[in-house]
Amino acid sequence: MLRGLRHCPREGSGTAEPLIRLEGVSFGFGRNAVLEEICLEVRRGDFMAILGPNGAGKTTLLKVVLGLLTPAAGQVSLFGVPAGRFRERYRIGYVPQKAGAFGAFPATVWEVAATGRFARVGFWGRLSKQDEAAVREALAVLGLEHLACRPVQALSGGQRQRVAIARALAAGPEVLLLDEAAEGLDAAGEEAFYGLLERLNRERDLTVVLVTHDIGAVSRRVKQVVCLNRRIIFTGPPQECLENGKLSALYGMPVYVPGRGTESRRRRIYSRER
Amino acid sequence: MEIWQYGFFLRAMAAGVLCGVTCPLVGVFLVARRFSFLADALAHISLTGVALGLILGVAPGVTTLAVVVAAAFAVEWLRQRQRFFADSLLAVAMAGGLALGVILVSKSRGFGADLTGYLFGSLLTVRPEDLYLIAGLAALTVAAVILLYKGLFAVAFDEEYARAAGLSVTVINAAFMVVAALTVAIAIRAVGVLLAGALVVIPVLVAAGVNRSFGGALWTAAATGAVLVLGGLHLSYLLDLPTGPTVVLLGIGVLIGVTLCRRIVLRYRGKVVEAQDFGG
Repeated sequence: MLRGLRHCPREGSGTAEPLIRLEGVSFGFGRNAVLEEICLEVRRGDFMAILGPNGAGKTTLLKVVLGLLTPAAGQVSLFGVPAGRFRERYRIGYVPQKAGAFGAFPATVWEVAATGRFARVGFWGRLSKQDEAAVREALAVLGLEHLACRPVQALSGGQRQRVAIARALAAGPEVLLLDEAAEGLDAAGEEAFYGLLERLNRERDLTVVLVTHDIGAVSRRVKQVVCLNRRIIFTGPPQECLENGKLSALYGMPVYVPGRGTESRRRRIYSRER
Repeated sequence: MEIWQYGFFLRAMAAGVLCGVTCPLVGVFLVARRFSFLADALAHISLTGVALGLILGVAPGVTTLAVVVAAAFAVEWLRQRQRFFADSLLAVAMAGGLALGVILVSKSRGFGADLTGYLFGSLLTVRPEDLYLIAGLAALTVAAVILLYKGLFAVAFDEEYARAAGLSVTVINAAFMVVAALTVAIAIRAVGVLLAGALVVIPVLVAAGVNRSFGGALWTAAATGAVLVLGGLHLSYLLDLPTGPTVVLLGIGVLIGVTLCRRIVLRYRGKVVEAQDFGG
């Protein structure tokens, strides 16, 4: 279970091992506060969506967890170790925003996916048979085996996105962080994408945390929702989030989620038709 | 060929092959990072190093290397902090380095005779000691690229991901800047300050046009570089042309040829996708 409580109590429901813990984390660019006193815990097996309007600090939150940004205040612990001393970063898989944009220089699907193993292998090491097997398995999970020798530039947007996820999975992570990774996918691709994440979470016990605007899609899939707008406004099951007006409070306007509970004026905040 | 009987030409060929192999090996990572202008900028800045060496009475090769390495670190430091747009930063560095170099050249004595060689290269005047230095620098560069290959590839394709995955991106970038500086120092000997960027980039564009994999592009670029320098060297002898510019023009000709052939082949297969096209 997850808690987003102001004073970060350690007690509460859920007995699974905490993999990521943020305690009173604040971050800002200059004088602009982006995150304020964030308390969040991600436990093994969680399937969590972080929702919020543009500029709410969702991507910043992920970057703080990943060590790409240093918080101005508070503490981040990864696998029980303070983030500054945590060396096994490959245990956290990352699929960045626009992950499918691999540039125009030629590289095969295999070459890109194999970069996921580099942090495990180190500077001087070579990819062993075990590493190659891990890359092969990641490609197989994503249905990309037959495209291994194809240049990534020749793939569709959805296929490139899967390559980015395969790269993250090749590292053998225990947590997968995805930053608006379904961006640019059509409805069918998006459905397949969320289905895949659900399967990875269920069958492989992979902890998944995804940042998204797609409230409708994730509310049917995830176990927890975190509503973020610089501060954490709500944490809990998606049904509760949809029913108690938290989304309207988060976006500052009435929100209607297609196919789910309605709120006041039934307006859509998400332009994509389903 | 008759010319192969002369020691100076054999030395030129050896130095040319070393330059031709080394420059594109580094150029591949520069082009993939969309930072290929760095080679040009560092080459222009190197003029300051050459002039400093002559003024201070120190071997110009030593001061050139020192100035180029320092400039490479400064550029990388500013790029990391995102103080400027990367391409604007390189344009300023190039203009500044060249301006300072020209002022220093005007204050130094006895540089006039060598200036053309520094600006356009002078493979045919390579001495045995120069060849040893070029061989040493080339060996260092190739070794660094092989040892750092995984990190360089990961950073070239997705620097943010590489950082998030725990790779030592700062160390990789610092090492790469040193390697890029060494490469530029080598390229200057072959094609000169004004054309060094071309030797770093053109073979890479040729290789990128005919390869599907990064590894393939890397070795094709190195082979292309060697062939271009050797071809340019012989052409310049046969047509009595300056070597550096001949190598560069030959490279551009090959690039145009490869790009046209690739377009024809792709169109024939019905696979021309403008948005994904590269180098043409």
